[in-house]
Amino acid sequence: MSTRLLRTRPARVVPAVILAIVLLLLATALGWIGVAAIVATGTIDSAMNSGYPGLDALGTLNWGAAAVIGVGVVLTVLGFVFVIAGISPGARRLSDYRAEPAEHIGRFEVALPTSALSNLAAAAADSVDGVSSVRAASNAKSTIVTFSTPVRDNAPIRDEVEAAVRERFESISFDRTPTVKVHALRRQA
Amino acid sequence: MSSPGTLTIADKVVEKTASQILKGLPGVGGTTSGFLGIGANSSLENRPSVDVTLSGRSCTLAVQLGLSYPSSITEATETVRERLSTEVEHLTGVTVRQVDVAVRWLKPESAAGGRGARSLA
Amino acid sequence: MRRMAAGANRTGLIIIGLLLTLGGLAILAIGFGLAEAVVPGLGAQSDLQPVAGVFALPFSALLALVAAIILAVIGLRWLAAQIPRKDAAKPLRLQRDARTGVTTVTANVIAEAVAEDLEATPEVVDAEAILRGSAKQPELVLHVDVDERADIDAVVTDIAQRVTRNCAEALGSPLATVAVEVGIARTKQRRQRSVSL
Repeated sequence: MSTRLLRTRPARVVPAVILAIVLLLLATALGWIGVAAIVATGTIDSAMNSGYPGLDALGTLNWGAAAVIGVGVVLTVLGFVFVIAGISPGARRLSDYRAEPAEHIGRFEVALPTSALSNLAAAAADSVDGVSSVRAASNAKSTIVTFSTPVRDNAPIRDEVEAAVRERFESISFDRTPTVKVHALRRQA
Repeated sequence: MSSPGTLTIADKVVEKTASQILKGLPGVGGTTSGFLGIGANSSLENRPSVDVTLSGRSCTLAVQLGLSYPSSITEATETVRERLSTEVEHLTGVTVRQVDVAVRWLKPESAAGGRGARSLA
Repeated sequence: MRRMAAGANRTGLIIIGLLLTLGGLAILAIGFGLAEAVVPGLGAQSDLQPVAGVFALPFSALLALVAAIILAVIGLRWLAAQIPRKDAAKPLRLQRDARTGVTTVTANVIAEAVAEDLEATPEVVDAEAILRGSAKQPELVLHVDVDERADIDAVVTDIAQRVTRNCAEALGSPLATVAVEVGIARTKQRRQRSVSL
């Protein structure tokens, strides 16, 4: 299934955007210092510290200083987080559907994103009497439905919601039908 | 014997002729231009647009058209090609060497209302 | 549906992550006096004068400018790569014999017809289609939003039996791959603006 057309794993857009913006900020700072130095001295061979004299203060620190150690810790932790984000495949974002092939189709892939599972579950739960609001969260294999109800004894409603969501999922030919968990929240009417 | 004179056919005539031939073909349509593209209308009722390049007594045609969907694009455009080659030559006496066809739109029979609207047919 | 720069993102994250980790570990190693074994005299008590000295070198401002430009280019290109790409097929050539003329159809024309056709499927609220590959090996990627109470099996069957068959007929060849992503439109989010009778 390596040549799937549908992307199953996260593309790591958010960390990539953050890093790209950090690179741009770094470039702006470096460029600023460089230009300031060249303008200040008026020669092309000027040193960076004539653009930003604060750089000289670095020389008074020693390696054991808390600030230096702190920077080391932060860099190590961030670096580690980025490496993990790059290597780990991340959560599956699609639930596979068992599609019947047809003779005019070579390979047939059908899948529901996890957001669709949540919406299906929420819609099914919404149809149960006594439910005032629903939230659903899903991964590729399971859905957790949290509903609120003004009813004090909500166990029967809970069972009914679970049955409704389960029935809805079973009406769909998933490769593996997602499991359902239901939580009730009591809300004062 | 004096010469019976010469007959000159303008390229516009060949274009109009070709366009009119295609209007009779089922499942083939065109786009009216509108004003600066505003109010342009694509329909199987409209005539496809045809550009003619004349060279000597022969010509090449460039056709922009729309087709009904679903139907084989290759077959529909081959029919267009054959029709144009035989009938343009028959009507105007100009030999058609090549017909280039650009399919600009496909109109599904199921979606009469177009996108964003629903049809209750 | 559309393609993301997943590979580039992961590679970039790993490279920058490794650089940061190595840099951070090096700072910590010196800070805790562990580097003295390798570089004598480089311990917790030594100061950062050698680092500050780099910023005092002649031409370092110019080098900083060059580095800034390189970083800015990398950052901008990486940001630009985040725009999802359709990667639609090149215009398809569908003539029998090129000597009598060529027939051209853009992938967009076919994709729009497929999307329109899809929206005729009962309970499909919205549809998007992308045609990739070539005329001989077409790949169709579809996204449909169906009503929350829709019979999803019926929608998929209609796609398999009608919509894709129509597309294969138009192209005159079977579809190498069809990929469908089914989304669910909640009723309150959906609003049909008009009806034509």
